[in-house]
Amino acid sequence: MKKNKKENNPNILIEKQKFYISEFEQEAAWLSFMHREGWKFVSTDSLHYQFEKTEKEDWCYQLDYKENGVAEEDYIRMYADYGWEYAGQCDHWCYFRKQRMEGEDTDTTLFGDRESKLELCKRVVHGQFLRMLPFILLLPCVINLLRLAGPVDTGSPVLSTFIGIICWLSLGLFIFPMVIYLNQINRINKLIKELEGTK
Amino acid sequence: MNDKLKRIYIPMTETGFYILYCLQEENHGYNIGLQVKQMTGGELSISPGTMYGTLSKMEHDGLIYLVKTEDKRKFYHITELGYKILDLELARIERLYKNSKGELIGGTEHEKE
Repeated sequence: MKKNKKENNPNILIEKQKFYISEFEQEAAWLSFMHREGWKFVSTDSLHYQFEKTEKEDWCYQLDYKENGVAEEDYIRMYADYGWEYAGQCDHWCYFRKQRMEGEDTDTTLFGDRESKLELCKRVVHGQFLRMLPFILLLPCVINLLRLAGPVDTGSPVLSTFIGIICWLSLGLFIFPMVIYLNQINRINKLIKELEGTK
Repeated sequence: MNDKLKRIYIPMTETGFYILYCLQEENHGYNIGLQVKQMTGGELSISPGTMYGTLSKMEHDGLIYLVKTEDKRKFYHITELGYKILDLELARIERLYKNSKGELIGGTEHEKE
């Protein structure tokens, strides 16, 4: 399942790992684990994670979802005041880390109370819904296009088949991301219900 | 004040209350957190995600306003609307407190034996 690919540079490690949007806590825990193993998080494209070799230290990682997708200076500054180092961004997700000192009582979470964790989840749902919106709005157009193109008699079976394939392909291209977004919204909604304790 | 804001902010969350209360004096996120910790004898610590989210929301809803940005830190202060909400909330908390001590609202005191 997990593929390790070491590049020529022994100080760089690229790991392939997939986390669902609802698994931001698991993702953070995995990044903390990697740091304890001596691999410091550098960047991610949400499928591949790049690490650089470092001391084996106890750092905790946390993810935050920014609805506007921008990590503003004052935002990074406030988290830094709290001792959280900004570690990068992928899409709407911002990555933070903080070193855990032995014997010290370190606050290891960005969201201490249930209320704000719920807010975070709701922001994610909202963000995902906004991304799905263009697909929802354009879907009737695509379906209409299909209905128009379907009965067109081109006189050539090859051409008709070709048009048919293009139509279904375009429908597929529309439905596929919608299914993915719906699945993610569904997962995060489950998490919200768990947090609300109404499962 | 519209009903929507009342619904959102009354009753207030504990963190929301302390943040708004502290902003009667101009302050920035991390410092508010420290002040709250001090006020509550360490019982309440507000995490950064909560702090940033609450400040953004309160600014958006017009309860607080941005006074200045210094050294990349945003300093806020409570607005007139913020005061109104704070006053309503303080009155509610006072009622809770009085009732919990056996006092009735409206002047009559519950007689203790």
